[in-house]
Amino acid sequence: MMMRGFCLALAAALVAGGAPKPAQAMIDMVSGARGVAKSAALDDCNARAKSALTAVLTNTYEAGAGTGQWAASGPADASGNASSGAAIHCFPVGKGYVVTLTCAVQLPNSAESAHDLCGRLQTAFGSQQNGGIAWR
Amino acid sequence: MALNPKRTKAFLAIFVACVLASVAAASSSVDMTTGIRFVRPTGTQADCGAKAKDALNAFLLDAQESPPGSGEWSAEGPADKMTGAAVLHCIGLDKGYVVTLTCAVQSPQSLYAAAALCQTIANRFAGRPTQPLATPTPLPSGCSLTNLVGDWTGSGVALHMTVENGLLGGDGVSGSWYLSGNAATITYYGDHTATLSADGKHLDGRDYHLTRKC
Repeated sequence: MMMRGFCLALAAALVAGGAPKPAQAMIDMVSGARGVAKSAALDDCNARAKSALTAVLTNTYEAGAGTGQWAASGPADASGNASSGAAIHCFPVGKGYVVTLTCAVQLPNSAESAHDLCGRLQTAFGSQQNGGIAWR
Repeated sequence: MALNPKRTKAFLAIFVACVLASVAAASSSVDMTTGIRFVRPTGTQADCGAKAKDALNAFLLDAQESPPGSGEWSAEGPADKMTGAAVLHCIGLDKGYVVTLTCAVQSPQSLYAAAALCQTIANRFAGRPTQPLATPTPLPSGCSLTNLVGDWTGSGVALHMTVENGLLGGDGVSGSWYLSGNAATITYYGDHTATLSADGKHLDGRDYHLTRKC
């Protein structure tokens, strides 16, 4: 009896709402926080970038060895399509470095916004207390 | 009264197929890349910002620095699809500045890859010649039986339907369209069903009787 009620309700919903419509996807991209480490080697930035991206996403790679430009994507669905991506740029300045975060997600496929993704990435990268990195 | 198990199974199978078809249509991925990094020995962060804004606006829309003065510029586009975005970071140095570039597009909806977008923006930033990015193919001019793209009039309305399943009414209200076989659903002040004629020129339903310009 319950099953029949479910089917009738489903049929009514389909008739009222028409056939399912494809969702309109969109890109959500943000420039995340910028961090400055006044006294640290660029290798420290590279190691943190790789570690943070690997912790939060998958398929981490450096766009050319020694460039300090890191990117990753994920998570992948059953078809191998990734709904998120992020990039970390490490650049030496003075005796330290500057690091920038950029994130992009595809909505509504991604469960989180690009802003939230960058927030997780920033936390994974480190902080003033954990690495002497000042973010703004 | 008991349910017919065969009918129930068939009904559920059709429903699941419809849901899967809907999801499949939306299946796509984020294509993201880091672009060329420029280091300039002269100039200020403001100089970098001016170039960044120009380069972004040349291929995307409404480049913004957020927050103002941060040197972080971003834009999305193109106008009719919003399937791409780019971010430029301008970082002032003691002498000169460095600019980093990151681009993302929605694949396969975007007509070009993130790398192509980044390369083109980088060329513009550097003052090098640029090639136009791929542009959408022209709208179908015929009365297609596989889509509702085009301009429709009738029943006191004028509707423009786009290749992305979008719909724009003459009153500025937007909506969407969906076509399965000859069964159309027009979402414009609610959902309305209609039947597409065999010549693809007429939509007839309870609420609307529309004729396509083609």
